[in-house]
Amino acid sequence: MTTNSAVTTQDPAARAWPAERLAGRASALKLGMWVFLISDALTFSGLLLAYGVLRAGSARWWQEGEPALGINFTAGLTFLLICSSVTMVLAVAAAQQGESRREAAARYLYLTVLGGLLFLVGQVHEYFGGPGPGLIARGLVFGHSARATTFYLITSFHALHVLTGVIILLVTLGRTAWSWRQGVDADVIEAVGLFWHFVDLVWILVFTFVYLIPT
Amino acid sequence: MKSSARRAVIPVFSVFLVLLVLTVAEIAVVKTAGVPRGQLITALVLMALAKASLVLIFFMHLGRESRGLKLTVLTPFALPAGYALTLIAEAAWRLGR
Repeated sequence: MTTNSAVTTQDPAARAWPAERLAGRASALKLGMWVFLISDALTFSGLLLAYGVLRAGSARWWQEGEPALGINFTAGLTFLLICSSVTMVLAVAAAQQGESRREAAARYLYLTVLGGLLFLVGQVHEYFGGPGPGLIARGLVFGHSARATTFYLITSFHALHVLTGVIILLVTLGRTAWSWRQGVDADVIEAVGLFWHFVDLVWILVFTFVYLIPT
Repeated sequence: MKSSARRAVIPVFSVFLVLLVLTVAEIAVVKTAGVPRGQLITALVLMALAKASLVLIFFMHLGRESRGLKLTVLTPFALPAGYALTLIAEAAWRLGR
């Protein structure tokens, strides 16, 4: 079955193609995004499994002189990403209402971008500090220990996804604000939304495995 | 906002609240002294999986997709899940010897 009746009735392509037995009326764009997300999720799975294997096999995971990770601060970043996921859902819902809700869709996309940018600023602050020293200045240096290396590898790979998401969202925001193709843009915003929620989903797991599980 | 859109948005805020409560619960569990390590890790992993499932089902709308698409998305994760369980079982056996 299709995910949204508003899209199928407004999108000429969706009207022309009958529902497919396995994928319903999901657009090629959406199916492509799901396939990409599956491959990306398996990459993250590999990273987290490697992290788990290294950590479980390490006689001394936390090296002397290395700082603790800021759980409260990172919980704030987690809250920020969850909020941006909510604004993304609202943007998709508004886009699927059609031209009449275009401004609302653009407004929610803008808020989602803002959430992503704030998350990135928070991550940079965590790494490099200011005001006050960051993790690197306090002794958690890439390459100096398995804990430090896996921490930076996983969190920076995730941050790269957030940055990519922000760029894609900005492009989509521009398209939504300055031009509108009925039905088609709703599909694009939905596909971008899938990517953004995936970034949130991965962070939920990273937050638990890297930050919360005690040594 | 049209009523159909409102109906679609209301669960979003419910899910948001549940995600918020689970995040606060995670922090509370970590900061609670005296919880056995095994139970602590189990609780944290279960809460993380619950949060991830909520995002997948409600925010990514996988719950509303066709059965074929659901299977296409979820089946590949049997591999890393199986690999993780094997590694955990091996570590438990090794540490228990």
